[in-house]
Amino acid sequence: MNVNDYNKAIDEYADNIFRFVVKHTKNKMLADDVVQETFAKVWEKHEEVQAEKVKSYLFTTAYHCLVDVMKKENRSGTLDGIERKGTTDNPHLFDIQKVLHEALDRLPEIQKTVVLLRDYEGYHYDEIASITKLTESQVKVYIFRARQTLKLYLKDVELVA
Amino acid sequence: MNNQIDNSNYEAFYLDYLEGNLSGDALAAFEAFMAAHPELALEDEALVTLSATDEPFDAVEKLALKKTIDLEDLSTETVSFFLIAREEQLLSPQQEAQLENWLTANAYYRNDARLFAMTKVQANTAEVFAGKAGLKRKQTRVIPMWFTGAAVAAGLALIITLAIPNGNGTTENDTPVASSDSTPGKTHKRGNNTVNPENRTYNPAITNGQEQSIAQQHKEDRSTNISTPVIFPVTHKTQGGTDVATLDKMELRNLNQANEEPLPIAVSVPATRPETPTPVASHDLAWTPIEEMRNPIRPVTDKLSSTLNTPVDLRTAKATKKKQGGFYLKIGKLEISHRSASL
Repeated sequence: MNVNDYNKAIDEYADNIFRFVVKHTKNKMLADDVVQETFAKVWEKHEEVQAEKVKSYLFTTAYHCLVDVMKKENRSGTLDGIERKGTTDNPHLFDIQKVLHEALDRLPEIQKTVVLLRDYEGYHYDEIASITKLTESQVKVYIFRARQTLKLYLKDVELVA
Repeated sequence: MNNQIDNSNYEAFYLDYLEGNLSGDALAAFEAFMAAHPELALEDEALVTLSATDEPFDAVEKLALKKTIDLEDLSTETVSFFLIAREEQLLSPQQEAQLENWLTANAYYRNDARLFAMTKVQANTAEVFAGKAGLKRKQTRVIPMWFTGAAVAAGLALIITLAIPNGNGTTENDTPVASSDSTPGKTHKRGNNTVNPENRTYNPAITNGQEQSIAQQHKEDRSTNISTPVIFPVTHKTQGGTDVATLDKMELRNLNQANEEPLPIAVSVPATRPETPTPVASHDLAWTPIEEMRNPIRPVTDKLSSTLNTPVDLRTAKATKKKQGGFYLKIGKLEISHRSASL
């Protein structure tokens, strides 16, 4: 991957990675740090990375950076109480995506990760498995489990509304 | 089994008793021992036993572990799996049709199908990373190692060219002669030079500011040099058998100002020179035009031109009896030339 490929990857994927990370951290400053660290690490290896595989490489790197940051921040307690909204918003305003994102925030981190990679980026199970170092079966089970939880959440909110 | 039960081994008998493995004499002996030592009997809650739960493994997750999807597994318990699989685009068209038929027959699950269809999370595209510009890298040109070698080769070729004695190798004709072109490395930016052939004075006239390329200048020089040689006025005087060439004082001042270094007032020449002053005929000769010069390192300059994407040229010519020698170096817009005296 040359400089042009690298700069093109920034234009194409920096926003996607940022959204993926900020969905986990709920903290834009932390997400900024993770995105910067991700691209810095990829640049260090840019001569080894093939241009056509840069997206997967970026998300793999971003995921590992994210896991490190989450561990560190959870230890220091920085993430406690940050923008973690419940269902206290007006349920009568049934904005599906809003409710869905609330439900997503309640999922275990690994389920949230696989769902975001699947829905945001359209990755296949094997690609998600490669990024998250899970097996393909685990990814599939996590996605199915998450979909059931999301569906139940939507059903509950819909009943209240 | 040894039926001698005491305080040191009764626990082993106790475990066998609980698991129903004691019988006959062993069972009778254990019961007799426990009757004699009721304090050793365990309370019911002290016994830790494991029992299988009736809760089955989640039917959806069980199907998710399978490598293939079979509509034979479709039921009211497993319909969630198939509804998710449809949203995940894991069903074939035939399987989707079968599922649709099943939903028609079981309309209660239509609502579940609708809710599963809404579980696709969409990204908020308004949320963007603001620091993209700061992450980008600038394009830098990496000069390969061979370039250094080529540059050294070109430099050496230049030095060698300059160091080669003119003509037959004698240095007699390299006698220092003040000339406007004798300053090594001087770039040519001259306009119309007026030359007075009578007293052979060189008047470097400043032109209207227009700059000419060296190639053009050389062409002009070639045409003018034949009839009007460009030299500074030199007068020869004989002082005690030594021929002394002096420059015009005005020109000396000009040169001193230009070079910011003091120049000698007089230049001594070997005493073997004839006493009768003779004009320096070599400077009356034309300079070899650039087109007739030869590039001794053409492969190197061609490679440099293509690599640097800028014209690079080096041409040299040896002095002959009829023409002056010299070299011409061009790197991009930079042009440098040097004349050497003829034979």
